Amino acid sequence: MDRRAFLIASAAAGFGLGTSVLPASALALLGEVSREIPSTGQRLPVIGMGSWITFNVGRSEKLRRARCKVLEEFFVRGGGLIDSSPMYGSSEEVIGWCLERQGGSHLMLTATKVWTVSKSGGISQMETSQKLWGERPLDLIQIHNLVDWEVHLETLKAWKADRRLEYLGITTSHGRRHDDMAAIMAAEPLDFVQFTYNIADREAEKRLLPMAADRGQAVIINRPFQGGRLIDRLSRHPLPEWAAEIKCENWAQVLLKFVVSHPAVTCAIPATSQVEHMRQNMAAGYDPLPDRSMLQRMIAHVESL
Amino acid sequence: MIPYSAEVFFAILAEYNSSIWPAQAVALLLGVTAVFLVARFPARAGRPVAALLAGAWGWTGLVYFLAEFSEIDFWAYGFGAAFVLQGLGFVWAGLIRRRLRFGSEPNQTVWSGAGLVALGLLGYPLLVAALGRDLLETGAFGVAPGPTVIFTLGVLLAARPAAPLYLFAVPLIWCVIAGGVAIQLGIHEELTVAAAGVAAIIVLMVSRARR
Ligand SMILES: NC(=O)c1ccc[n+]([C@@H]2O[C@H](COP(=O)([O-])OP(=O)(O)OC[C@H]3O[C@@H](n4cnc5c(N)ncnc54)[C@H](OP(=O)(O)O)[C@@H]3O)[C@@H](O)[C@H]2O)c1
Repeated sequence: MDRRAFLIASAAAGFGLGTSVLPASALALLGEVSREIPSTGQRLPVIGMGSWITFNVGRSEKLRRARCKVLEEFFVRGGGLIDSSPMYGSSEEVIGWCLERQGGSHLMLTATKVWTVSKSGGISQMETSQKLWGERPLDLIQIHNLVDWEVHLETLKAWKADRRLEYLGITTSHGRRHDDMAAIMAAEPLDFVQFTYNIADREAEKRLLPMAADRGQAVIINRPFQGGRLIDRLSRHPLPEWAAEIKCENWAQVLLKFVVSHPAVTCAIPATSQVEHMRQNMAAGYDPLPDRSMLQRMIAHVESL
Repeated sequence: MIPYSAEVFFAILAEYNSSIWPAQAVALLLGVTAVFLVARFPARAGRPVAALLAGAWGWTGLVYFLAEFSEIDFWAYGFGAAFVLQGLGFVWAGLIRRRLRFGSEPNQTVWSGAGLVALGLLGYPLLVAALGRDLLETGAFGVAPGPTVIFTLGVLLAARPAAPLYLFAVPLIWCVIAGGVAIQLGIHEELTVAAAGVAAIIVLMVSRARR
């Protein structure tokens, strides 16, 4: 067990929480980095969790139990936002199933998406999502890949006004439709925006990240590992010496620390199906984060490989 | 954009296979009977073979895709609809229009078709077993797409006069999809489906050029 894990476990025991989560304040004392959601001031740990492919395990109880362990690790290490979508097959249902068995977490922000056309289609999909996630109302609903966004945005605004929802947002990925994203970000009162950003795909630095900061929109970063390809590619090379200076023990942590060190980023949502990977990813959400000169070194090094 | 991993694919396939047993054995028996009919009574085999293919495609569309895999794969709705459509294609072409017929003097094209039929019925599961995988984790003719598509391409090539071209469309599109799945998820047996598609196109082109 590493030092931080030991501290988390002992602190949890000290709070009488067993394997349950620690209060946010205790995790902050242990060095967990969090950022403010501009529209409410609520703080969110910089490492969240995605669920594309990884939580889509269907009815298999064996696989569901394995994913519950991943989620448990996420909570124990102070995980914040969980992201899913009706597009991800059984992921929402599997997350709901695990939450029911674990009792959820006071730190958690539940985020799903609407991914269909038409007003009635959107409403019925969001109501289904709500049932799948369980008792607790969904916090954030995002319009997935901007599908029929004008129609869904009206519904989401109405739901927010009725306090059925805390936050609304829009998503894209793979660097697609940045012009449309920017136009909507400029015109609409969005709480969250979600797009791709990682050390190899830095297009968002030019426009979307500064714009979100300007407009007071929280930013969720998807595909921090390029869907795993970036880690596979970098893992063929030894971890550089400077990684130890920012307390990174593996490439996953280097990549995540790069992403969340951008001041406009609220959280990154790496997806994993493995407890060990979750442990590694969560550790990237703790101090220290790279400073400006270290970031330049990181970019130069990765570009040289 | 496949929304699940190979691990999950095999887990769901195993669950599906356990839940439908002995449908696989019945389908295999019907498949072997169809081959026997074509070999011994070619003039009368067209309608029963079309009925078998309609049933196989309908089952795979409705039970495999729509009832089972739609839970983890949004594409399954489209695939399910396409498979049901192909099943209806066999009802129309084979049962109503009687355009699926067989002759008694096999040429090279017919023998190539026979090879694919054998691959779909027996070769595919044997290959999976040779790869060291549990048979529960493999698709079977009549109830899962891969072997059903290979078998179907074989039957279509074996038809005399040549089967309507539109009956090749969905099976060949599936061969392309299977190739993509094979590569992305590392499910090697699915490469045989893609290879069967390439073989069918070559045989089809050669036989049409000869005519
Ligand atoms: N348009 C949209 O709204 C949109 C689009 C794309 C993604 N997203 C969201 O963003 C999330 C993240 O994106 P993503 O899932 O595409 O890609 P990602 O998080 O960049 O990469 C996930 C892959 O990385 C591997 N991985 C995770 N942690 C690792 C570690 N510590 N060491 C080695 N490998 C590791 C995982 O494999 P293992 O399972 O083996 O760990 C998985 O294959 C999605 O899950 C989804 O929630 C949203």
